[in-house]
Amino acid sequence: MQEVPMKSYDIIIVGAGHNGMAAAVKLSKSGRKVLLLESSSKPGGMAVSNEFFKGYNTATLPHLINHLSSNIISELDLFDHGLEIKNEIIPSISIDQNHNHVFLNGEYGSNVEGINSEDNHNWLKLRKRLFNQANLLKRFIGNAPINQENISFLEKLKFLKAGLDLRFQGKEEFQEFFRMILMCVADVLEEEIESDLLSGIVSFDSTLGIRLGPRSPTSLMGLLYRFSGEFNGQQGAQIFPVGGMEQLIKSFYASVESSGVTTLFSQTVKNFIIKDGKVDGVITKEGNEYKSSIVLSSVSPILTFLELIGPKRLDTGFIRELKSLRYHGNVSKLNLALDRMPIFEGLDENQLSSRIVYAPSIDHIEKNFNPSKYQELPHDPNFELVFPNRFDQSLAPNGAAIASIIIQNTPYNLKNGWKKSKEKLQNDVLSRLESFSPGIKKSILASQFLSPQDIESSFNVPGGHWHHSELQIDRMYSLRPVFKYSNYKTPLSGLYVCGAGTHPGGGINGNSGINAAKQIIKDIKN
Amino acid sequence: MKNNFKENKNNFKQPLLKTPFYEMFSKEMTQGYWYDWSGYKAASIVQDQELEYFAIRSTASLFDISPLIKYRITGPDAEDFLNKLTIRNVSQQKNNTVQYTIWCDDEGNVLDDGTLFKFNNTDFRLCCQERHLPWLIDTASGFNVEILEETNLIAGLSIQGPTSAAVLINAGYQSIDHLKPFEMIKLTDDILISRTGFTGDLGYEIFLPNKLSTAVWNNLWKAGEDLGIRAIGFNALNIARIETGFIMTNSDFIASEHAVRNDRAKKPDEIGMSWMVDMTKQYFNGKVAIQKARENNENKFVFVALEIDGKEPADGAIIYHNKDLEVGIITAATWSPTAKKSIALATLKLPYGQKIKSNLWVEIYALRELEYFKMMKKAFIVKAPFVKLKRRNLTPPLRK
Repeated sequence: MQEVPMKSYDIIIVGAGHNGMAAAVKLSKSGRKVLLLESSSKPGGMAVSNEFFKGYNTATLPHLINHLSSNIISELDLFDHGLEIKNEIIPSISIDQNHNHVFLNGEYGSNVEGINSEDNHNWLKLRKRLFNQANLLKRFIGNAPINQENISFLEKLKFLKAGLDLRFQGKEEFQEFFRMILMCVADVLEEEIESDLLSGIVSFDSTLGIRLGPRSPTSLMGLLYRFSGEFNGQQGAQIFPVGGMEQLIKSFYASVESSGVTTLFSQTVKNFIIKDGKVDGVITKEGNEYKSSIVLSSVSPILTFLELIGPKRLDTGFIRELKSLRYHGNVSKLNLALDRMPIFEGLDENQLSSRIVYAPSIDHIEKNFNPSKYQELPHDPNFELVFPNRFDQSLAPNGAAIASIIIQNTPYNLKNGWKKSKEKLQNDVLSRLESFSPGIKKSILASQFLSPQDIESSFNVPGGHWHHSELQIDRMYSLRPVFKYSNYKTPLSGLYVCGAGTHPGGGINGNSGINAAKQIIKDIKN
Repeated sequence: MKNNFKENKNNFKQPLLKTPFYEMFSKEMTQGYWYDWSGYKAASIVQDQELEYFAIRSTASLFDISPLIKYRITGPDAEDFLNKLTIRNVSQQKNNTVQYTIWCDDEGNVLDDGTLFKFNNTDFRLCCQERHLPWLIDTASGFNVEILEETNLIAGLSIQGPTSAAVLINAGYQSIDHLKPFEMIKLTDDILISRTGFTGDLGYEIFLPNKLSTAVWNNLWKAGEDLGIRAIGFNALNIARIETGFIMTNSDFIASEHAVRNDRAKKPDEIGMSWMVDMTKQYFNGKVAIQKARENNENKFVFVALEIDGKEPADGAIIYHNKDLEVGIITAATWSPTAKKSIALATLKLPYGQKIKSNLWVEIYALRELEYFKMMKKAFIVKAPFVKLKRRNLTPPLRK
């Protein structure tokens, strides 16, 4: 017999994505009665997995972890709730048509094979500097950003401390930071690196998920954001958990359950109950009403503000700011069910347990980025590929394989429309794959393709953006989602926001959920 | 939501536009005192400022209000939209009445004031000083309304003064007889007459399609021949409005969209409009900010009416407490011919004007034949209006 849920809670959280779940645990542990509402039938949000073909189970969208900090792991006791890591840090390979591949081993290329010794020297120097700069930014990830409401002496001190720490590293590091911070990644790489393949993969990682090319100003920031990520204290590491991304989400959800949160699935929040200018609960499309004087929405800011509250109830200046958010995604996902593990020329079997990136050079990416500005598909799409079954054989039938492919520069709006373009894009990617791995096309049993528009409809994310909205420097920290509400508050008293659209942004890290929970706990105390 | 505002791409060739009444005013004009009102050529003085003032207070005056910015707001959500836009309650406004109102930005700072004409809850006209179409369109997000900028489609005339009703009745508009202040009536040929004005006197405003301007003007001019009708310019009107305590955007306060300096934008509470803020409304733009400013005592200014010793008008003068501490500024001042006093509207920095109301002084520099006479005159906070006229509210109106 199913327990009839209580209708009144201390806090209601909208959306059981990993941020919603992280917040739920934190708030529940603080002694509040928490209700977590999810519109789909299972937890995970955009990080869910699915069996897209019989016996083939894979993460629908993101397929690796590179942003899960030790802080989040301990807040949610993830290792006690089923998160298990067996594999070592997953290397990356920048693949070459002539099989002179470049291998980035360790934590984002702490050791690189396939480049000359000068490049090697320069890369290690550059990597160290970038890691150092990313570390500086990382200090600000774990707290609500400063804005006009949230500006204490301690917060200011943190800035001062970061500035001093940088200065103490010497004049050169200090000057380099301010010289480089707004640069494009291409210029930074061209100063140091000769290898096109190394520059290619680094450019790819700087610009994946945002609407910038390697030569767009500020594109280096994308790389710094990536480098601010870690896994359990290992900066720049990428990891695949035992049982796949599904197991990661299961560990989040196990933590939610054990902390005493009530979770209800298939409950789509339609709007908030507003009483005297304050939030007083939610109403679901299924016709249920849940009361609470605090609501935390982890869905995209566009959805929270323009649909769940609605523009009629929002001040005009704020509407203008929201409408200026760029929330149209440009990343697509292709999952392939293969009847056998493919063979790549120049790679042995073990090396297929890597993240394989097709990004031959800076210019190659830039030329693929250009058409996206004009709502066109890339000429020769850049992508990254992993075989999840290489890390956990249970994900695919014995002897078979899954190819999980993230495709860059595929804009939400296409001149020719996605209906006509889907097949062409997939064919372009598959033909390129075929050139590296002859026969791979023939071994495809089934495929799952999600354009930004498909992501929008499947995951209820307006614009289908993996980060909910552009994660560029003009929308980071205090400016995410907008200055006035960057401390997770909203114009409605009692309503809070978290999720990828808020600080610090996208990637599976749970920081925004924890930060928002901290803000709520602080506000309740006051 | 639609709007049909078409940009006039040739306006650079003709820097100031002519209103539909330009020719009529031009004919009366002896001095050539024109000024720029929202891009239109408007009269400051037609013949003689004093005679024009006394036309307002003793007979009947005609003032061209065609340059007023006018928006027609229609559609099923028009009332809800205006309840979001403005700080007053539009649902409580009766059909066929006019409501003086204000709208604010997100910070609760005043964007503009204006008059809202309610035909019914799906049909309104909003008249104001400044252009606000982008703001109106963005505010209308989510509402089913149509916003039409009709500034250049509708001409307007203000007829003010004790004989104004008589002139209108003489001209054949008998039905204005029963209009109470702030009521309006729609006549044939799309002529709209409201019992409103900027003078605090008996008076009416007439809105009409451009093409009727000559006919209506001639009609009124003839009907008013024996009733002392006179075309007037802004200067005379300005004296009358100060006497009534009416404020003007960008004169008595800076519209928040124009304020360059952070502290120049003002909340309704800071320009004497607290009475207008309807906090019982569920929501309106800027409500949260206004409420917060009230709760945290963040309002910094107070708007006051001042009577000043002596005869010298105190335009732009600095106000002192105890003759030494600067506490405010005069935003509008005149010698009131009716009250026979030097009067002014002013902004004071709190707590002056609220807790500390006495010992206020105004520093006036009077230029007399290339020599300044510096005077320190005592100022007294009084309750506006400075001139209160029974005939303003009398219904039926004075006929003579």
